[in-house]
Amino acid sequence: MPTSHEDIVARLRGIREEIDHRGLTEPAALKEAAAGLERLIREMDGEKSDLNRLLGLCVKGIRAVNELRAADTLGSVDAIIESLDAAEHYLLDRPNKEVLVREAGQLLDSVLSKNSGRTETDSEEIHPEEFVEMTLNDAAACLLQIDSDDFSEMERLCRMIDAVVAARGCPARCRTISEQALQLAVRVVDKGKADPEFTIPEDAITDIGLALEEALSFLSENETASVDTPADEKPAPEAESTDYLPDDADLDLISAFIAESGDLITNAEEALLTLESNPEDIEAVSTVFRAFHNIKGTSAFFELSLMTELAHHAESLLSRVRDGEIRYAGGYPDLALRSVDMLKELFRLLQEALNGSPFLKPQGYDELNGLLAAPEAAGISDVSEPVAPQPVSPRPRFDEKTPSTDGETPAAEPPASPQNAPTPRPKLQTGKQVVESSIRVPIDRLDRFIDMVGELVVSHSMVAQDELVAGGGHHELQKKVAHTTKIVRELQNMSMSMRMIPLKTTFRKMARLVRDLSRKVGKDVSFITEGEDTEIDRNMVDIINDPLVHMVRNALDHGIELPEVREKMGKPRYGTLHLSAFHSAGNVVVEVRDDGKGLDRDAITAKARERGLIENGGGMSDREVYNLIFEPGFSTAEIVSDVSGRGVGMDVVRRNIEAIRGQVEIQATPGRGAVFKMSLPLTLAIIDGMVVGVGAEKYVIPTISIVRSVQPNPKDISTVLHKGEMLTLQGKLIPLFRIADLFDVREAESELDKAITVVVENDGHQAGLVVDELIGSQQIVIKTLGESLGNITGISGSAIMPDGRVGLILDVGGLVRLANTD
Amino acid sequence: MTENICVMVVDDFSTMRRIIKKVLKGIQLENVVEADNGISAWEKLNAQTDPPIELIICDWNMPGMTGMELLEKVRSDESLADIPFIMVTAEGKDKIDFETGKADLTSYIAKPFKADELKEKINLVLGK
Repeated sequence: MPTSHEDIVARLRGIREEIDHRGLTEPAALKEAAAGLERLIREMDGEKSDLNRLLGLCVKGIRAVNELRAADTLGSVDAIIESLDAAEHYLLDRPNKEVLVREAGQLLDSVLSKNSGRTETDSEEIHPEEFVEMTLNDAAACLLQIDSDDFSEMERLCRMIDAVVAARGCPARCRTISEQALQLAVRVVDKGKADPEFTIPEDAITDIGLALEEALSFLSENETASVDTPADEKPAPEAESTDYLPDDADLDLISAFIAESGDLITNAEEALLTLESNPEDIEAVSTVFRAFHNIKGTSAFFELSLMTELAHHAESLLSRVRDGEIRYAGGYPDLALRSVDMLKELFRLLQEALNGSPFLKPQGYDELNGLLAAPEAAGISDVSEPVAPQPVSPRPRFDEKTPSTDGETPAAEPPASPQNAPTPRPKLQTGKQVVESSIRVPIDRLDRFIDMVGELVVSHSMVAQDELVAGGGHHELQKKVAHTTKIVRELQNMSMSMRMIPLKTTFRKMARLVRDLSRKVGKDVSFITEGEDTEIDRNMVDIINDPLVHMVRNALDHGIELPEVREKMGKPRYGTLHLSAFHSAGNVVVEVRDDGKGLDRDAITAKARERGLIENGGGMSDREVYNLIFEPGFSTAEIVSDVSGRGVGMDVVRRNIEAIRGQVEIQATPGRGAVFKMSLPLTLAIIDGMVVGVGAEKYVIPTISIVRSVQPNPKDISTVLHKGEMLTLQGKLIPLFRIADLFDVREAESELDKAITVVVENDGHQAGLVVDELIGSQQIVIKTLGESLGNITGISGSAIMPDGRVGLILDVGGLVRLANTD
Repeated sequence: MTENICVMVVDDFSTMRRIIKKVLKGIQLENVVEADNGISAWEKLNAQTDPPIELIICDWNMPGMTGMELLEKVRSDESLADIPFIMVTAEGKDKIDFETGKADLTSYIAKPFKADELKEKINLVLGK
């Protein structure tokens, strides 16, 4: 009876959304939800016992919340929503459904068990320490999302930490740290209550976060130590506290080892991913082999036994692949990637050890080592393990080039057919490798160098424009200065290029992310990268990483459909995720393109209306509608999954990108896919700017955003109620900004037809900036305004002008938005 | 006596080269030519150095040209054939004996090695 099944899913979803949207503010909604759920349970006839139990727990939870019995209201609601989501997954027959339902049940159970003992729990499955860890994790997650004025969230955080402190299974050390965190949090809440103007300071959040992290890492380090009573402070087993860093370690050489191994591991990881799509790639096998080999040999010299041992086993695994003894398929790829992860972790710990902390054995080390030593004993083989009842989801493929295009199922899939006999394969071939010679320079030294060159450019242009030089009469001097100008420009270009690095590393991280995520959500995805040699400023790489992760996650989680759904829609089972980078108009563009279901215009407008972002979406273009998801307060299905939820919202993505003078936008075709596009400036430090004069002040407008400059005819200027002055230009109404009024500059030209209007554009909207004169266009070395002046409307930075004075750079994006929202 | 000897260290892993250089420094051998694979080692061997290279310490497993291939090339070159050649390797003794039977390897040291072991080997090879 498929209809009633679908019906149940739809009703579950309805209930979940109801709780999500209204649950906390309207008790009636909760009551309704509980009743609805109970009806559902009755109708489902108790045939799915796990599911029924979960839904039963949900009902219990909703009642507890409703009757204000819940110790942790928000936590309970979150857990309930998650459970309902899991139930939906279960009914939709998604992969891992049993696990999801079980995990959700455990979480809900643990949250409810905090409810002052009044809600009896069905089971005591949760280990007290697990509860502590989960709650700490939740608290950390909550902390990450706290807005600076959200004191109710802060109180919720206090309750969570309080629950940790009160928990039976909390080890003493962990309790002490948590108490510290709690004190900090309580202090913030108190201050907030006393002073309505008070906002949560950034460093308080950092301090609380650090404490939580310390508590968590204490827990994970002492995972095996069983803790029963609060007073119990059993020492951790000896093996766990051994410091593996030898006493006479040569720290200099070890840091070099860490740095070099980082590259090796990155290469190895990439090669492993290549290998998964092409198990015959001998060059890739030997790259990985050599990485393990070198790490083994060198770590042995330093007597870093943890690394030697792991690298040894991993190397053996790879040598078996190289010698054709096993195929790189089935359970081996996972094992190899886990070894890479473990090595990364070991190097991270080693780095910390150099800074003074003990070099301890990481969690899961022994288990992995055991597995690696005898994978077959643990049932791992190169045959894809048959997992019932879901078909094994094939792994995503990683290609450098475009494979078969849309409309057909990609043909070259990894060999999925079980093949028992190992195929003999050619021995390692020695290929040609271009070895570029390079040296490592500490990044801060490089940054300083680039800063100094920036200063040089500025002070040189002061010289060049000095009266004595530019004034004529000193012909020889002018020639010399012109020559120096050339050299300085060259030096500047050179210095900028030094900090440019290819996006390759970032893209590779995404490859790994796609691989892991697509498995987790049970989707088949082929991941294609283009233009990974495109270079951007190194300092920008870190900034774009988070937005990129966010976009890739979104595409995988919300964009690309499940294989069955895709087939039904006549699409290939494999979704395609393109990650590409290219240069365009002085910018670097990074694009995430998927061929999933695109964005749902109606859902977005409905949500935006509900959140009060728009009045009605009737007159808006698709583009405007799609870009609504970047608005603060527009959170999409964030609670629904742990893949794309929980992190930052899309508004943060946009804020981060705009902070580096970049832009984001979304384009989508319903049913065909979506494109997220980030445009980034080539470098953070220099822009082409138009210097304009207003009164005695000078401002800089980034040339890239200037559309045109006009001296308008008075009859084209009109005043619109609530909008101020508008200029009619080629049939369009453009809001005008008088820079002089905005920044309170005296003695500026007040007649619009005598002043100059610079029309600027951002994100498809225009605005006119009224200035006195255009002075000239030049390269501007950007200086930040410093922390305290960071958020001035209309100003994005400052620059030193050739005459030695400071000029402010206008924040065109901010001004245009301001002009078009009022 | 050994102070002026120039040693070539070939390894694709720069940390390993630094380790070996440090060991060499410990026995007053500070004149070192580095190469990160067999190909560049071969180029540097053929370029005149002053003082000439009198010892090669070389990793076996390298991309481009392996230590074994470099050894064969060195041994078949008239002017270089006599240079002592120490192979650094993680391979077992059997394999080394088998492979090096074809070319004349002066000595080898198995990874992982201790600084003292390498010093000993070098001193042995240089006849100190």
